[in-house]
Amino acid sequence: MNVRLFVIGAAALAVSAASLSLPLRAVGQSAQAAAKPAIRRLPDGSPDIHGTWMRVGGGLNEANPPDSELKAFGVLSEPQGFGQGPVAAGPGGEVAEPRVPKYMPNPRPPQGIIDPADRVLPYTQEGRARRLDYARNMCCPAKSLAYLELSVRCAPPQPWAGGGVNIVQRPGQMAMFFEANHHTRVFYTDGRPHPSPNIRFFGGHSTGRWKGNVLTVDTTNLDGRAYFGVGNTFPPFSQELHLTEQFTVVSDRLITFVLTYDDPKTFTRPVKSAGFFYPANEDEELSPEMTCHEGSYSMQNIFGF
Amino acid sequence: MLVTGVGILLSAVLAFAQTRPPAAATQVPRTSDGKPDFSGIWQALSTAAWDLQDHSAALFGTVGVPPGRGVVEGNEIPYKPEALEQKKQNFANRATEDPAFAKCLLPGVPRATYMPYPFEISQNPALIGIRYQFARAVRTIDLAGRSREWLKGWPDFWMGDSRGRWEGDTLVVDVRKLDERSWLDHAGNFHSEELHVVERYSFIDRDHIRYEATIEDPKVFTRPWKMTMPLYRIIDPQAEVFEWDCRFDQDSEKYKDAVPK
Repeated sequence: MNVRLFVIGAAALAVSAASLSLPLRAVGQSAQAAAKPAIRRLPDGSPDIHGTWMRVGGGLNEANPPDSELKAFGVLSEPQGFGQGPVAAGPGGEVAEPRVPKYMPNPRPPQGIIDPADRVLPYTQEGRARRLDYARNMCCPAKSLAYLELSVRCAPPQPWAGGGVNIVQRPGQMAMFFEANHHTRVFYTDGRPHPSPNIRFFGGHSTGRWKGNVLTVDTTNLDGRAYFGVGNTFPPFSQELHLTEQFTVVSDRLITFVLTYDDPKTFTRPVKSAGFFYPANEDEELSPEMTCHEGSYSMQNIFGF
Repeated sequence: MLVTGVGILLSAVLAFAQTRPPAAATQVPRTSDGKPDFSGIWQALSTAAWDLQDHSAALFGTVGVPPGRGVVEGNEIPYKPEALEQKKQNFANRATEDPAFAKCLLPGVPRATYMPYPFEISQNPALIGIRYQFARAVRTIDLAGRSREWLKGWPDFWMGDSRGRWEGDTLVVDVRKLDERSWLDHAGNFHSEELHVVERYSFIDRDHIRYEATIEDPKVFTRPWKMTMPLYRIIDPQAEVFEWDCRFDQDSEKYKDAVPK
């Protein structure tokens, strides 16, 4: 028997049978399939989101900080026109072409505080006291090391830091390599537990699980030194901070996320902030390195030794 | 007849076993594009981070430098005479001037590979990311053949700019734009801004990598030289490369009671 002809014939028969059995649904499915945005998949079926992305949002800047002392620091809105406009001169004084993000979504998904809806953070009494203490003593000069802005101290980036990021996935893990301050985040998706609470980190420890197109990441074991600095909100989180992130892969060109901050010592209830990732331009490559400690004399200049 | 038959069968089995590739070599993990997959947690188990050459034990901190065989081919680092004087000066001041062990700054390349702490490789066909435990050091290695022309005029990087390519099953990484302030080890071996490192990673078996780094720096050395060492896979499935920013910890301790001037 000619095997090739048999296989072709069998395939034709299978296609015909499928077409005859469900013609209307097949048409409907085709229309739906056409409407669904494309998402690359890994062999295990989870979305393949490797590549270079830009992360926007997820911060906790308030629309109108209620405390009169904080009002003196002004209001910082979420970045508008992100990635557009003139760029700073390069190391040789040259001015590069403005970055025009080709894949910035339009309209933009939500970014910043989404819960509470009035964007006023529900501080506990202790959290509010810490916040005001910080605002009074952080500038200028700062009262002591504890009140210095974390970026001046070249602190490890917070888990909610943004900017350009390379995502590399492999079975059981997703790694994010950020451009700023050689920040990395690793989400273990192999079902492992968090370490014991005796082991703590500035950026915490993250585990994740995929369900369909949604990656839910759970971060604990923070050491309480991170805080959402600059602008109008200051206080350090406590060690009880528990972060939950839901990353939804909408398409190969958009990932939205909601970040839930649950810190009962700082907030009376969990608060949520939204953001999104969009792909970098094809010809855009992240800087190989942005360091802080290696080039900073801030501490010596501030303290004199 | 039976004995002869068994003998023939046995001979066939033995011949097959001898011609079949070693089992370990066939178990090398591969990525979707068929290349060897170096993903995982690895660590060098030499004393090269302290001294690339043969050395006896020495005092350092509370415990000291362990004795060890060097990893340099021929055990000679071919310094130019004036550069050798700088090396000796570095050695004399190493307790306070080693940018890595004394100051917790980024260890540079190739030193990051043989620091006595683990590192994790995450690999896909277009990019390799390496997270080193020491000082949160990170490298990304472009495998997509992108040009580094756009970096002309940029300052150098402590961890350099790395571009990778495949030669068969060997990953070859070309590293340039390395900041001259990093050292090659605690013994004061150093380099200039013209340092060019070519690394070669190849599997010995699935749990061991042969790592080779060729060092070329015409400002400091009279000729290129090479170091080799095995890298060992950390097989504990729960192993992780935890965050460690020792410089932030150092500064936090140093300035904890200080008052801004």
